Amino acid sequence: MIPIFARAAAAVATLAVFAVPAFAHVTLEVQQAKLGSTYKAVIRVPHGCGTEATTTLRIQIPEGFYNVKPMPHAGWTLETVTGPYAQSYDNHGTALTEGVKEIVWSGGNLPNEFYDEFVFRGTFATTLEPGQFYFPTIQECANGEEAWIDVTGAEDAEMPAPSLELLPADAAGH
Amino acid sequence: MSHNRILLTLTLLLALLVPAQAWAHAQLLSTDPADNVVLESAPETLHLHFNEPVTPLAISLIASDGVATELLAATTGGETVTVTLPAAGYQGTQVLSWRVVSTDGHPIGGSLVFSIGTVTGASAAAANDPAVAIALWAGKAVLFIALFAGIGAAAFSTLAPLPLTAEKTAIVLAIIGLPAVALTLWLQGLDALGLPLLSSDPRILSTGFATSYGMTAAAAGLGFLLALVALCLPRGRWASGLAWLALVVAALSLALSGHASAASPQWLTRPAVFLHIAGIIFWIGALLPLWLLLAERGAAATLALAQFSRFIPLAVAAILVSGVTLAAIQLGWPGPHWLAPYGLILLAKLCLLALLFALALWNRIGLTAPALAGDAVASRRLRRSIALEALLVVIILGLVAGWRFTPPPRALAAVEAAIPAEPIWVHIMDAKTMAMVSITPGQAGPVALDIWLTDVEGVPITPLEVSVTLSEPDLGIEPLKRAAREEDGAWLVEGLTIPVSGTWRLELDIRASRFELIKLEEMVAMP
Repeated sequence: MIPIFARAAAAVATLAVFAVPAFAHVTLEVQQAKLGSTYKAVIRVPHGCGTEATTTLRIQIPEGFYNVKPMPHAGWTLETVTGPYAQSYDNHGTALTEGVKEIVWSGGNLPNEFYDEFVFRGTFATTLEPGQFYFPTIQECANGEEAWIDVTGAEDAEMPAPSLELLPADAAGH
Repeated sequence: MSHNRILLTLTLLLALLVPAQAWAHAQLLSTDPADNVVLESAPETLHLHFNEPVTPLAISLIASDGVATELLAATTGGETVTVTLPAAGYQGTQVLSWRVVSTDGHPIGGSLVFSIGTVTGASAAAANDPAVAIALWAGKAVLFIALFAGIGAAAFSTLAPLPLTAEKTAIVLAIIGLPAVALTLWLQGLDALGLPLLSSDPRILSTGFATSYGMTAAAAGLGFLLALVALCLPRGRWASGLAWLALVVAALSLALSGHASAASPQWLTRPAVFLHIAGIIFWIGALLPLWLLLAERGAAATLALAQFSRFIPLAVAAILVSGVTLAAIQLGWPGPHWLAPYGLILLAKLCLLALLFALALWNRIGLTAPALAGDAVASRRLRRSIALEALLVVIILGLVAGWRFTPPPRALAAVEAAIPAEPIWVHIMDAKTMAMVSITPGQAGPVALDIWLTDVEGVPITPLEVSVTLSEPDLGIEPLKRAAREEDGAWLVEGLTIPVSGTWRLELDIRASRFELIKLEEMVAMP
């Protein structure tokens, strides 16, 4: 019975994820994570700026998401901006005091008609509060940009930052 | 197992079905007409160009008085959304409020502001072609001379037979009056439309007619026709009746428009203007016939002079009483405003009138009785005096025609009172940021926004970008978004038209840094 329940829950979750009418926006594929867990972030970029192709994608890594590693993307130059963390985080016994603050995939070409995904991973600190966690993201084109940086959480936000919901570490009985 | 399979299949199916939707999010690329333009006439259709096909959800046109017209039924979707406007005489600033949905089901909305003819709430249009003004002045001066001397002579002909030359002159003046009416109406139309002198816009005559001057021109034209018939008919009851009717219609025509008639209280100003003009027509109309008759020095001259001196005190009394009344209403108590162009013209006119009245008094008291008694010297002096009076009258009419171009102080004061120069101040803050916004002027119409941004301690901040979004949820006006420009530490938004008064939602999007967006919001009542 338990596997059936789990699968049913997965199906419902899948339905919930796909039912969110946010495909127009830059979004995260997986919309939930637990505090203290490692998370693979898949940023979905559905279009360019108006009619132009996206040539650069910048993602800000807020405090509390540490030990970040971006995945290279064929045809794009990958760079990171690193800096000190506000606090140190434990990585299997090693204290991390600095790391990636911003990921930049540049020099690419994602035409407006196409869709792509950009991937990075990291760990959510247990010191974070449960709730929405945002990754402010900017799509840059030849003549402009689309700044998905609205972190107000407003339902009618025009350009919301991609976000996920952080759940308490013991939410699903780890 | 079978349960699991079903669930798995279901999940897979869902996963396959949902992404089949398009992944894009429609964006408005351009509009036709462009935002904030002033069009000469209402367009038949409006176009919104998107980067992908969209379906209109709500389309309405909101006029400057806040009245909305639902236009969804007149709208076609696609990459270009075309809105067909109903054929109605739109004027002023309009807002096309739109909401559309693209294939992904994400609705987006916005507003397009444009104006037809004039921007509602904007100050008066720029100066017109000086050639039109000069032509209009000359046309009106000719019209006034024809009206006063021509129709006046026709009226005088009912009291005493006109000498042949005076009769011919009156007929010629009445005939000149008719094209002068048409010409001034044309020029009025040019002036109203702000067109140069040599324009051939089909709307000129109808526009001229639509102004308050239209009725004046029509009545003046009728007056000329009546006077013409009266002058051509043999002397008798019919001719007399028509001649007096011509005088009444002519006096009425000038009471129908112009600064003085437009002043309030209208129950006082319009009859005052009517009396004033009627008296002047009678007086001026008598001058040429008398001048000519006195040269002949016959029984006719004696009769005419006797009749004139009997009636002129009535006319002068009407002119004086109504003139003083009107001057008092237009200028109020003496003050610096008497030196405005309107006041200066009035002062010059009063000086010339004083001279005219002095001459008239001298005629009446010193010259009329001896002339009637047959004194040749008195007759000659009377003629000279009448010629001088006629000259003064022409100058006065020229001056009066110039009033057309000067607003009376009463109107200037009203214009000043109508502009609430006081801007509206809005203070918005959140936990980190404060914004001080001034909206100038503090009323619906074209406004400028100045935004000063500081942190909560009052230290100025320097964001990367600032944009302003205005919407009016009660009227269903979708957001109007404008980027602000930085100048000397303040962020300015110019060329923004708040199309109607109401309670507007003012949102500031402050791009504090590349990844940080601060949103501030406040409701603002715009009168």
